[in-house]
Parts: sequence; structure tokens; C-alpha cells
Amino acid sequence: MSPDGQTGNVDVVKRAAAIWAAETDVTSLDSQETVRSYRVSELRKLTFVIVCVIAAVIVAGLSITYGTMDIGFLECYETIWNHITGNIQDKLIDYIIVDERLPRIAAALITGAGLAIAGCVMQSVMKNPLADPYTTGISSGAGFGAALAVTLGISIVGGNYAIVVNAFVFALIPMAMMLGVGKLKQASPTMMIMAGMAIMFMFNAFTTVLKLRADPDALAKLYAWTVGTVADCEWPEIVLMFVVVAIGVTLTQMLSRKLNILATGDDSAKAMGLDVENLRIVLLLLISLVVATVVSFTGLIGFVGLVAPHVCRIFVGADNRYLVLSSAMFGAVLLEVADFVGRTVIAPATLQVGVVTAFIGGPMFLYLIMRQKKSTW
Amino acid sequence: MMYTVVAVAVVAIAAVAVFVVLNNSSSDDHSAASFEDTRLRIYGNANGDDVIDKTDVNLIKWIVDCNTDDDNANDVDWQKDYPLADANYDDKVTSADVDVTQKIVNKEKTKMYYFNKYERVTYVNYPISDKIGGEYLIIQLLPAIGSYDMLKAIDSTTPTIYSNVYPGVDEMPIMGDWREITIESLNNLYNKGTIGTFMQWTGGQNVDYIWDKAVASGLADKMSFVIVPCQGPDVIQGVLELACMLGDQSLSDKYVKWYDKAMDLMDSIEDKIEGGKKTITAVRCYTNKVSGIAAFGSAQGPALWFNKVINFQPAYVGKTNFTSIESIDNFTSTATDEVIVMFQKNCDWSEFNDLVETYLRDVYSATPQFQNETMYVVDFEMMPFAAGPAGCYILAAYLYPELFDIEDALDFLQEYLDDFAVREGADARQGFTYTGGGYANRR
Repeated sequence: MSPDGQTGNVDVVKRAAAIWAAETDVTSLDSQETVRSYRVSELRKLTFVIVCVIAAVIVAGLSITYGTMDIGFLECYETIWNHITGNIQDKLIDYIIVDERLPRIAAALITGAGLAIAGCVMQSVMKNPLADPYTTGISSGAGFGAALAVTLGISIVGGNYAIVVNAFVFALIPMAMMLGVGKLKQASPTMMIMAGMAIMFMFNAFTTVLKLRADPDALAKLYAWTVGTVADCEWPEIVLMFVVVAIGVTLTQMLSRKLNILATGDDSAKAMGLDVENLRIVLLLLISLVVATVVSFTGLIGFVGLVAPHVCRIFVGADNRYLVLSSAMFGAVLLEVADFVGRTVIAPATLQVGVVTAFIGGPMFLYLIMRQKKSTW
Repeated sequence: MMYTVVAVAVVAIAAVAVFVVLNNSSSDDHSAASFEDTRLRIYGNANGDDVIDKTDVNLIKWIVDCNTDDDNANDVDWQKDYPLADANYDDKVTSADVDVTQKIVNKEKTKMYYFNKYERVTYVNYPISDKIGGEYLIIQLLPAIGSYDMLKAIDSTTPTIYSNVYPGVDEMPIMGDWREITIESLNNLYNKGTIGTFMQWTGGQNVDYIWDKAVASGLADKMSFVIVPCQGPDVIQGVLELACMLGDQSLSDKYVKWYDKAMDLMDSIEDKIEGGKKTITAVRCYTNKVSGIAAFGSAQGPALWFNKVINFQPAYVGKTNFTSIESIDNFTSTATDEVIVMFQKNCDWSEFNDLVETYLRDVYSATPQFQNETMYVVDFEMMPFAAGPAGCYILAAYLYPELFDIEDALDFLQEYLDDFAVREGADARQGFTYTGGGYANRR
């Protein structure tokens, strides 16, 4: 056995597999059926992930071509191509496509992906189907930070980014408090999520007090932020959001096998050599950064983090190797569809995306869980 | 001989007198303009008065001549003395600036630069289109220049606030709210021929949200973006500039005359009252039954107007509702003997007195100000906007009765309503200030 014990574990597994193979007739019909159904299952999961990716591309592709101005389908893509190649034909059309329509679509895709993996990881780590950025207080923290900046003018930085920076920093506080409680009291995931909910209520109460004392203009501004929208995002912010979310998705995907082990329960995960506490902290910190980054720019957008992983579980089960990526893609599609609906349903007026996610996400979620025959939890 | 000497002397004196007078008038034309006092902050208005005319053309010519002759002693520091002489905003005063200013005078097409509400130099395509889309607070500049019929599209807030004040606004095309008003949506309205000018709201906490996008997209070269003040005493700047941008500066004459009359009266308060303006508590109406969004933020329209006649009691600045005053006990112990209450009425004009009585009785009946009837009422419809001078006059009549007469003040408001209001039959004595029989004694 090697000094770290890892090689030894692999040897044990290999020997056990060899004994199992020797004792089992893998050529029997039953075994072939098992292998076949496993492969079908894997293929189905992979197909779902690919479908989500294709759906994201199609929805985004169609969204670009829709707006109050009638710009043809091909013209939209020609404009993007001309922009990329530096051969801008019409400055105005270029601006409308590249600086007004595309940022909104990109922001919706990135935010949806970020919120969805946050929900996916939280639900797996906490082993609680209700865990998401809302129920763990992250969104409430961000909301309080924004309220401080808007109503009292208290902000970490001044100027245009006062709300954004406040929201980001305060979004991290609930998670820090939750992890602190977990560390100090050796708390179970259930206890941690209850602590998160307590923190959420505290922040909500603080925010309500600020709202009560706010002047009407500040209240309107705060309301506009809390409803959540991807309409205000510009390219520099989107690049930042993309980098953080891409890192978040990649690292989470890399840790997905460990997430699977963690999902079997703390005791069995520890028995399999997993550093449960540290893994939980790393994952929660990672997704806190992701959520804090996106909500600080978009405001509070509910439901995506809760619904996307649940819908994906129906199709790919609880296997995080597929769940993380499919949740990210499904969340992206969900938010992009919500924004598209928000832009079209009462055009030329718009519905904020946060409102639409609740409108379409709620009934859809209800339908899916009602027709689900077996529990994936 | 003696007659000859006298005649020569008379001619000589007359000649000297003519020379002095002409020199003086010339010197007047070229007197340094104070940018702070300039109400028409449009480049080309070199002398800083209320119009761009031939005198500005001549003044710019004079600057060019002085700065191009061989004698450096004649050089004019136009950046210091005539900052608006650079009509084409290229940081030089040359014959090109003369040409641009001449075009403005001739009502020919040119790019007109101005110092916008957010203290940035932006431009319109002069003369601006008279098909105007406007956001809800700034559209009141149009009646002030007698051009309400130029309004062709509105933002989505306008019908909620103004459908009774401006008949027909609820049937106009809606541009959306500030988030929905984008380069794409504006260009769409422009292409359809609905609007050619967009007037952005420039009150309260609004920011310069569209200009950079308009320039980056090139839309600023197709349609005009008017970003001028629309609240508080700076409303005069908005009125003058809008009329000038439209190419008919006479449009603002009537309003300017009316405005200046009130301002002359208000400016005298400081001099005539011992100790200057009173320090007064100002609150907005707010109960569980009656509420409004009229705010007293120090940079907002109502506060900007109130400052003409009172000093705000500092403790109440920014206190926008009754909750933030803490309690009636706190109000009783901290409010001044006289109080200004501003309403945003959610009733018909004829019901305003009843509303005031109900509200004051509900909230303030235990206070000495209520019992002494020293709570002076003013309506939001008048106070932040172009009608503000009348609001100031009415408040001044309440607060300084030895100087101003309330009936004169109401007549002054009526003058505004007759000349600038859009709805028919607007009555100064109904719905703008309390004109009942005494709110403390009525049940």
C-alpha cells in the first residue's frame, strides 16, 4: 500500500472486480440485459444533456431575431458575423443586435446556468430538495445589501456600482454564517439549511424595515432591482459573470463524482475516504460566489435554482455527473425562455424575467412533480 | 464767430456723446457672460442672454476678429468670458462658429450643442422635429411653450399620473418605461414616423441613461435627444432651450414673462423680511387612507421650488412620509409653528378641499398647527413643475401675508392655467390649495 493509502484502495477494488467477474457469467442473458439497460440509461442521460445544449442554442438563436424592430432572421446573423469580422455595414443595426439584444440573451443564459448549478449543488450537498439560493439566504443577503445602498446610501463603493458591490458582499454573508454554524456546532445538512432559513428571515426583516422608511423613489428603485431583470446587463458585466459561472460549472462538474458520494450520506462518504466537511465548504463557497456574482447584476431571480435541478432529476436521475451540466443547460434555457416570454407576451411593454420565471416555473414544476411516478429523492 | 464756436462745440459734444454711447452699447454687446446666470445654455448663445440672435453672431465675429489680428493685446479669452461662443463645440472660436450661429438664427439645419441637465455637452439636430415622444415629468414643458400638440408618444407612467391633467394622453402610443425605452424601440418609432425627438425625464433620481447609447448607435444623428431640466426653478432653462431647439424662440416668450414676474416677487423676500426667509417644516400627505409619491428629497422638484420661499427645517429634509417623522408626538414637539403639507391628490379637483380636511383631521387634529390653521396646503400637480412659480407665490402669501396677497397669488395661478393648462375650465381656486372655509372648524 502506498503511503497515502489511495493505491491500496484501487488494488482492493480491482481484485474485487476480478473475483466478481470470475464468479459471474457476464455472458448470461440477464447480465447482458442489465448492461444494455445501463447503457440505454446512460445514453438517455447524455441525450438529455445534449438536448438541453441544443435547446439553449435554438432559443438563444431565435431570441436574437425578435425585437420591436423588424430585422430579418438572416440579417441578424449577418450582422453578428460582420461585427466579428469588423465589417460593420449599419452602425445602428449593429448596435441593436450586438449591444442591446445579445447582451440580454447572454445574461439570461449565464444567469440561468449559474442559478441552476447553485440549486443543484445545494440540494445535493444539503440533501434537501428545497435548498436553493433563496432558502439559504443568499438572495436575501443580496437584497439587503442593495436596500442599504438604495435607501440609506450606505455602500462599500460609491457610484454606479454601489448596489452591485453591496449585493455581492452581502450575498456572501448568509453563506458564511451558515458555514460558521455548521463548523461550530458540527451541524447536519438539515440544521445548516434551517440556519440558512433563519438568516434569510433575518435579512428579509432588515430589508422590510429599510423599505418602510424608504422614500418613494428609493422604494421604486429597490423594487426594480429586487424583481430581477437581465435587461440592464452590459458586456463588461456579462464577461465577468461568464468567467465566474464557467469556472463554477467546470469545477462543480469535476467534483460531480465526489458529489455523488456525498449524496449517499455523510457516514458512508467518510467511510469511502471523503473529507465531507471540507468538500461541503468548498462547494458551498464556490456556488455562493457564482450566485453572488449573478444576482448582484441581475437582481433577485427566483425559481430557476429550485426548479431546474428537479426537472433534470426527472430525466437524468440523481447522478451528478449528468445532473450538474444538464441543470446548468436547463437553467439557461429556462431563463432565456422566461425572458423571451417577458419580452413578447405584452409587447412593446415587458414583464421582468423574475416575474415570468415564477409564472411559468411554478405550474410547470407542479405538473412535473404530480406526474412523476417515483421519487428521485 | 461766437455762433460758429458754439455750433462746433455742440457738434463736437454730440459727436463725443454718440461715440461714447455707441462704444457703450458695443461694450454691452461684448460684456462677459456669467455662465452660472445663463438660462439658455446652448452653444452659440455667446452673450448668455435668453435668445440666440444676430448679436450673438456679431459677438462671435468680434471674438474671431480680435483673436486673429496681429495685436495680441486685443485677444479675447472666450473660454472664460464667452464659454458658449464655441457654437460647433470644437474647442476653437473661428468663422465656423459664426456660420453655425448664423444657421441657428436662419433656422437652417445644423448640429446644436448644449449643456444638458447632467452637465454634459450633448447635441440635437437643429431644428428638432416637432413630433415629440416624452417621459412623464418633462412633457409639461410642452404646454409651457404652447406646443402640447407636438406630443406624439409617451412613456407608460404618463397615463397613470396625467390622464386627467392632459386629455388624450391615454390614447397616445406608449414608448414603455425607462427600461423598455431602448435604442431599438426609439429607432422603431422614428422609422414609423411617430417621433423625431425624444425628451428624457430629468427629475428626481433619474440619470443620463440614454445619451451614450444614442451616440454609440448613431441614433443621435438621426433623431434628437432633449435632456433639459424640467423641475424646480431650472424649468426656465428647459422651456427656453426647448423653444430654441424647435427653431421658434418666441414660443417661450409668454412663459418667460410669467415666470420672471413671480421670480421678481420671490427674490424680494430675502430683502424685505427681517432675518430673511422663514425656516419651515414641509411634509407630504401620508396616512393609511391617503398617500402619494410626492417627495421632498433635497434635489427633487418640490424642494427646489420651496427653497425660493422658505428654508427647510433641516430635521424634515428627506422625511418623505409620516412614518419617518416617527410619531405625532415627535411632530408636535419638532415641527415649526407653520407647516407646508404637499398633496398628490387622488381625487377630482372639486373634491380637493374635502380630501384636505379629512387628511389633516385624521393625522394632525391634536397639533397646534391644525388648531391654529397654520398648515398650508399645496398640490403636487403644481409644485415641482412649470407651475411652480404660482405655487411659490401662494405659499409666500400664506407665510408672508404682509408682503403678498393670497387672492393675487390665486389670480397668478389662474393666469398660468388660462395660458398654459391643457384641460378646459381649470380653476385656480379648485384643487391646488385649500380654499375651504377653515379646516379646523369644519366637521
